[in-house]
Parts: sequence; C-alpha cells; structure tokens
Amino acid sequence: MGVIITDELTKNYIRFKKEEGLRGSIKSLFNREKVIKTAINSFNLNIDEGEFVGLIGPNGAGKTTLIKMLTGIISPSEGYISVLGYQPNELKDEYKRQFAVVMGQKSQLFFELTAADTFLLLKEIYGIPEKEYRKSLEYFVELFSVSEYLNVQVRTLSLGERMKMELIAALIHNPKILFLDEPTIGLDAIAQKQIRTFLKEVNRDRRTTILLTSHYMEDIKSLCCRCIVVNGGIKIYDGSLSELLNKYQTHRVISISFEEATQIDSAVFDAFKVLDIIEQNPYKVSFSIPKDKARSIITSLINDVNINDISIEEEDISNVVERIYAEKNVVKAGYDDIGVRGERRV
Amino acid sequence: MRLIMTMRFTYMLFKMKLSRNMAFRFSFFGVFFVDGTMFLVQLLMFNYIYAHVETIGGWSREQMLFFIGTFSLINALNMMLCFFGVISIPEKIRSGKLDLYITKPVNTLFYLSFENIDIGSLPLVLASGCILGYSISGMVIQFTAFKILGYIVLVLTMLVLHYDIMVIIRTITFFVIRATGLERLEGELITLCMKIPGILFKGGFKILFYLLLPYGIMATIPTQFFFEAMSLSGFVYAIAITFIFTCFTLWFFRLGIKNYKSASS
Amino acid sequence: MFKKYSEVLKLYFKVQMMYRFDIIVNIAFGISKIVLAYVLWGAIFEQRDTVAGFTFDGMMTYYIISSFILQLDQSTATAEQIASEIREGQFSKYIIKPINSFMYFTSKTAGVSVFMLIFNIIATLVWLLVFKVNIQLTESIYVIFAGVGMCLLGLLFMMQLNFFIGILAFKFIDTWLFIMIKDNLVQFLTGAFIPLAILPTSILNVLRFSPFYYTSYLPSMLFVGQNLNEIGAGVIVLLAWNTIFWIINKLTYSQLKFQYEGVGV
Repeated sequence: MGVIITDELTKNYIRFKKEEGLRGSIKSLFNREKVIKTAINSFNLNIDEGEFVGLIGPNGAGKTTLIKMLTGIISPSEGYISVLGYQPNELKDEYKRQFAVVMGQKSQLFFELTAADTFLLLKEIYGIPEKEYRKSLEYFVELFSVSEYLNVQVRTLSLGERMKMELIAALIHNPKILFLDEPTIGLDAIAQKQIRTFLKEVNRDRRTTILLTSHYMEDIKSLCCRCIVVNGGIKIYDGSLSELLNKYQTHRVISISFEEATQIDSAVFDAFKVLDIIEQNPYKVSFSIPKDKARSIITSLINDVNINDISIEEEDISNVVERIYAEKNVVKAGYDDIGVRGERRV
Repeated sequence: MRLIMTMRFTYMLFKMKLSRNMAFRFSFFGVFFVDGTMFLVQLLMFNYIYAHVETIGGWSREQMLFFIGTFSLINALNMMLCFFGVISIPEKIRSGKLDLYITKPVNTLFYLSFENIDIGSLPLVLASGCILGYSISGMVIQFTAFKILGYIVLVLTMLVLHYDIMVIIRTITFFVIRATGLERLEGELITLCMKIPGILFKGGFKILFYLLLPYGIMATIPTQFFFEAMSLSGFVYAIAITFIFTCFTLWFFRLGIKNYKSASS
Repeated sequence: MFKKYSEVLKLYFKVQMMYRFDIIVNIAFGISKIVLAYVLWGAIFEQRDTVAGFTFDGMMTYYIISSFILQLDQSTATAEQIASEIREGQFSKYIIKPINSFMYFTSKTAGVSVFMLIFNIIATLVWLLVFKVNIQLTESIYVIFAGVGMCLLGLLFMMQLNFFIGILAFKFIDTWLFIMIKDNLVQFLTGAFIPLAILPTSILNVLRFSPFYYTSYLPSMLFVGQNLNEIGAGVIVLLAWNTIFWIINKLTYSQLKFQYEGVGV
C-alpha cells in the first residue's frame, strides 16, 4: 500500500510578461501577456512505506516543486495527490504531525539561540509528551554524536553540524515520512558522508519513509535503492538505481593537472575513445571517458607524464538525462518541446 | 486541551523571543523610546492648541487626552503582542521562509503573528495608562463598573480590528510582488487617525475612516463610550465591523496560502 | 575641485529618474499632513475666525508652504544609507576614495532634493487648488530671497545633523532608533504639526536659539510676509549651528573612522 501516491499531478506557474520601463508598466496594468510555465507535468508516483527514494534531476527540473506539493506548501494545478491518505494542500494539522521536511537552504533553527532551544519549541508545536521527547532527543543526539553542540549558539556551528541539528529538528517528532530537499548542498565531503550514514540508519531503524532530492548522483548512490529521474517536470526514469547507473551513467570525468607544461598527444585520446575534452591547457586537462576505459587511460598517463594531481568524478546529471532520452527514442521535436516548457535545457 | 496546547506554545514562543532579545540590550526598549516620543509630541501639540480654544469638535482637553491615551494604549498592546510578527509576513512570503511555517501542525497565522512578542513595549502600555489616569483626574466623571468593563471590551475589540487590517494589507503580498506602497499608506493613515478624533471626519473621509479602513473608530469609539451619555450604537458598530473584518481576514489569509508560490530556496 | 561633487549631484538626480514612480508616491503621501491640517483646523475654525493670529486660509497656507519646504529635506534617507553601509561593511569605499565623504553625501542629497523640487512645485499647486486655499505670498523680492537663503542654510544644517547620526553607526548598532526618535522630535520642533506661533512665548524664546525654528517655520512665515524682523537673528543662529556641527562632525568622523578601520570591517 503506497504512502505517497500521485496521479497525473501537474503544476503550472503563471507568469506575466512586462515590457521594461514606465510605459511597459502602464501597459501591463491593462493588458498582461501570460506565460505558462509547467513545473511538474502529469506526474505519477507511488512510494511504499519504509522506502528510501532518490529524486534526481538537473537544477530546475521540478524536484523542489514536487516536494512542495507533497508537503502542502503549494497547491497542485491539476491531478491527484494522497500522502498517508491525506490531501496535503488541505493543510490538516493531523497530516502535518506525520511528516517533516528539511530544505537545504532554509533553516528552521534560531541562529541566536541554541539548537536545544529550537527543539523545545518544536516539542510544543508537535505536542510531544515529555518522556517521548527525551527518548527521541537522546536517540538522535547519540546517533549524530552532537551532544557537545546541543547547548551552543547555532550561528557558531559549522555548516555540517548545523545540518545535523536541522535533521534532528525535523525528526524529533518521529515523522512517518521525511522529505529532504538537497540536504547536502554546500557541505564538505566528510559531512555529506556522515549525513548519508545517519539517514540510512534512520530509514532502517525507524522505518521512516524518505524522499530525497539531489542533483548529485553521489547522494543517491549510497542511499537509495530506488531512483526517480526528473527533467523538465516529467518523470523519465523510475526504477532500480543500479540499473540506472549501469545503463546510463556510462562515462567518468577525469581531471589531471601536471607539474610542468605538458601536451598530451591527441592520439592517446583517440586510442581510448575520449569523446569530449572539457578543458585543456598546458597545466591541466579534463575529459569524459567511458567508465571501463578510465582505469587504463590513467595507468597509461601515469607512466608517460608528470602528474601533479588527478581526480575522477561522476558525470553531470544532465548527460544521464540526455542518454535516457536517447534510449527512449524520444523524438527530437518532443524533447525540445519539453525543454522549452520546462524553461530549461542544459 | 487544544487551548492548553496553544497557550503552552505561545508561552514557548514568548520565552524564545525574550532570550533572543537579550542579545540587543539597547533596542530592547526601542518601541518605548520611539512611540513614547511620538505620543509625547502629540500630547504637547494638543496641549498648546487647547491653550487657544476650549473645544475641538465638541471635545474638551481632557477628552482629547483620553483619546490620545486610548490610541497609545491600543498601539502599545499591538506593538507588544503582534506588530513585529505581522510586519515580517511579507518578507517571509517573498523569501519562501513561509514554507517552514506552513508545514507545522499549528495555525500558520497564529504562529507568524505571535512569534515576535515584544516585552520592551510594556512600559509604553504603562505610560498609556498614566495618560488615561491623568486625563480622568482632570474631570468630574461618574465611573460605573459597566463603563470600565465596556471600555476594556472595546479596546480589546479595536486591538483585534487593528490586527485584522494589518494582516489584510500584508496578505496582499501573496498575490502581488510588492505591497510596500500599501504599507506606507497604512503608516500615513494611522498617523493621521492618531491625531484626529474620528468625530471630526465628514463626508468622504468619514466613509473611508469609519467603514473602509476603520482606523478612525479605533480610539474614538472607546473614548465616546467612556464619556458620552450612552453610545450603544457605537458599541454595536465596533463589534460588528470587527467581526466582519476578522472573518474576512481569516478567509483572505487562507486564500493567500492557497495562492502561495513559495520562492525557490 | 568641486566638479566631482557636482557630478555626484547630477548622478543622483539621474538615479531619481529611475525611481520617479516612488518619488511621485512619496509626494502624494505629503497630502496626509495637509488633510490633517484641513480636518483638524477646519473643526476649530468652525467656532472662531482666528487662532493665534491665523485665519483658516493663513493656517492652510502655512501648512502647504511648510510641507513644501520639509519635503526638500531628504537627508534622513541619507542618514539611513550611511548607517546601513557602515553596518554592512560597505562604507570603506568612501574612505579609500579621494573624496570628502560629507561632501559626497551632501551632493547626493542635493541631487535628490533638486529632483524633488520639480515634482513638489506641481504637487503644491495641486494641493492649493484641491483645498481651495487663497494663498497670500509676500511681494518683496528681498524677503523671498532671504527665505530661500534661510531654507538653504536650514537644509545644510539638517544634512549635517543627519550625517552626524549616520556616522554614529561606527559606534552603535541601533542607530535606526536615533533616527526615528530624532524624526519624532524634529517634526514637532520644526513646526510640521502645528505652527510654532501657537506655542507659549516662553517656549518660543528658547526655540529661537535652536536651528529647528529656522529650517521650515520661519521661511514659511517669511514667504507669507510675517516675522520679517527675525531674518537677521535667523541667519546668525543657523550659521552658528552649522559651524558647531561642522566641527562636531569633523571630530567625530576622524575619531570613529579610526575605530572602523581598527576592527577591520
């Protein structure tokens, strides 16, 4: 039985075009040109209890809009949503008590006070009984190992510590569903990893259903079994993560910097089927290469040239999106159409 | 049960606001200094005008003092309870910070309104009480429990009305990008009505300040009720218009939330 | 030498062109003071023909002229700008440039004022028509000249005062409080609410030594052909205050600027 169900969910934003200048302002008083932007288009979703689902897509794909509709912050234009049997946009308190949302860039902590102060307020807001509150707080403080930061002014915390506090603040009332919108944005690698570990634990331990958005594949990779790819407001992939990675994330981006000015023979690139050289100057080169060739090209280069530093990264999500489209044989025109409607084509 | 929860929640908001405020010691009594000088200046102004005339629109000096004291009291209570909460609404709508308020299982408008209780305005409430006391001491008047009670009810009603209009103006931000012009207008009209007892308005001004933007009745009707033989109609009018405005406010705010576009992160 | 400052003036004049809509709204709000006068004094003059030597027409003329002069003073906004730039650490851009910051801000304010002047004249003519005021101006060129000169000295003084309050932000966090309290008091002292002639003679005698008596009240009276004997005293008092504040600003600025750089904002 799905806890989150949407059917043909659509959100249109209406914008008004205005010509610049005073004349434009006056004109727009009487006659405004409407521009409809479809942020989410006929979206179907079915998520079961206890699932950990990753929602990925490039910036502006509609991930945040979807989360905002599921949490009732904005109302859908068309279609059906049911979360835990509630219609989120009715904004019933009983529903609000059963979920939590963390938005990477919107803090609910009071910066001038300690995190513990904010938790006390949340205790009242959610009407958590004293005993339960103590128990939850202890559990999370131990899990996140943040006991020494609990009584420190929030504004003096590092970004990573603050995000842990945000998560505790969201989880303190023991929600059934946790919505996470870009929770790792701006965090360093260590903090990102820690947070991923906690989320995994919470999902397993408390059977909390988690829906997480990100535009980093890395986030999703270590967390979710199921992955949904969104672009231009449309769901283009919904299925197992491993399949997605095997099939569509076919390339790696390798960046190499050299100790001295170096020119790599283009024959080397050709030999390894490097298609796309992203950046090249005498001290640095970065290119994208099929996954299975990554190892051998590095081995070969290490022997040939003086390498200062080397990094291997996953490719940009937009490439994955592109490949999914390609495979589905979406007609070119159709793709452009979606791109324009979503006001985004990377 | 629900009431107790709401009260505990409000108390918590108040406590947190107080601890946040401790960080800024001087501005703690900011409202007291700013609004205090404003009403002081107004008292002086009428004091000097009354040196030249006996009555203005039929009101004696003491009545005028009482009027100013009443306005000051309503203003001070408003400042203390919800002013700073309500004026922050447009910014929260524009920045998308409202998301956090909407997703909490408490009344959104209530939460927004009372999270910035300003205890530093309390001296202003006391000062207003002094103005009222002083004006009464200057005249022979019969107190009855009925009058005092009625006056208190009216002041509280007008406090709600003031709150309603403030919220309505700020709710417009859900539908348009900027309503700062309206907020300026509000400021100007309140200052105007603070200085002119409603009884002086005639014609178009009367319709404007008694019906459309009823700032004109806020301190006027309580003052009239206290001094004039019997203005039951005024009493009923004040209650009725506040009721209508409150219903509209609640409906309008709900409509606003439905229209909330939530600026992206 | 002064070319750079005249460039600043021109620049801010042009900037105002961009904000012309705001400016028009601003001036339109100027009507609230005149409405206040119209309603309040209208009620008072129903029972009598003169108050402290003013007829109703004379009173309305006073309010319209004085609010014209008061609108020209845009230095409060400059104080706010200085304070906020100091707080946000942007003020260093003035310190590192080869300009005198007081002169820079004065030229900026003058640019805004010149722009205001144009719309202000139109607005004033409209108010005169709307309120059907039978205006009686002096015909003496000498008096008009003296009035204009006094306005300029008065504007310079207000600029110095506001510059002083603005740079206090080097030392204090809550300068917005100073600005608001100052506004409340200055509005009373300059006669924006009631013509100072209403005040008792003893208070007037003290006020004659303050600069505020001469910033808008006396020029307004001069333009309607009254208080001509006070021209000499006015010029002397304004010059004295301008000198005093020039010295105070010089000392404060050099002292506080040092602190500013000291904390390395």
